[in-house]
Amino acid sequence: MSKHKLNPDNWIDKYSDYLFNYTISRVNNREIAKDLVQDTFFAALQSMKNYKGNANERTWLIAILKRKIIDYYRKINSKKGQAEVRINYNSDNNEGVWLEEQVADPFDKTAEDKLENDELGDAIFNCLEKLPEKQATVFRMKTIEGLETETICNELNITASNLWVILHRARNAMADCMEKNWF
Amino acid sequence: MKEKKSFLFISCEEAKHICDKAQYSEATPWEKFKLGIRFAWCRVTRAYVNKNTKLTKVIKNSKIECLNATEKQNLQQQFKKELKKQQ
Repeated sequence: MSKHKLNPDNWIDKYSDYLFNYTISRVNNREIAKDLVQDTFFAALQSMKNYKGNANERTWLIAILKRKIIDYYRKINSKKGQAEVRINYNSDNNEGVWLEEQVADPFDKTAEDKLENDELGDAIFNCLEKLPEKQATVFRMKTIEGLETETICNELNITASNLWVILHRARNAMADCMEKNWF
Repeated sequence: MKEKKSFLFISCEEAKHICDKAQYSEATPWEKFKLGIRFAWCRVTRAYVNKNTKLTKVIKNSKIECLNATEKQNLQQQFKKELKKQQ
């Protein structure tokens, strides 16, 4: 018996931020990330009949998104040719030797850092999903997007004191949730 | 009857409110000073400030990004169109 069911009406509200964050950390381009997320949702709609219910919605959407990201890299690599790095050697003997993926950037994040950051992102989005919609929206706009209080108040049609009350509740719930799942 | 507000000493609730504002650099130096006084002797305020600061740090370190309201709205519209096609 299938345990999970799909509810596409909630997909954008529930998963778009999570999918977007997942994508942008891999493609480093906002526009491309947005397109890939949109393609993922469209592809998911078309594949709904194949969903067996073994994985939850988010896991299933991420699996589709991963394919989309791989396809994207395949596409740009086929345009550019192989992703290669040319090394400048001091010795003449080695001049012109081409190596693939052998250059370590000392300033780049290690795989471990990246993994930890991904897990942290997961933990934050998991906690955010548990908040009531209004609290999640205010928290996201103020804390993640870094919008001004006035902008949020105008956008959501609430007063500043109302915003701080909602934000206080959201921060409390987020801190408790993160305490359980991360700290 | 409305309680008279103290010039220097603030309630725990007020301290929490200032602490929330401070996380977004929206607390005034005077508010921060009053929070500092409360922080020195109130265990509840201290616990809240520590918890709140920890949350701010962890969110900042994660460098997570999300879609803004307009982007989400556009996505929602496109998705609804696609959904209608499927139905």
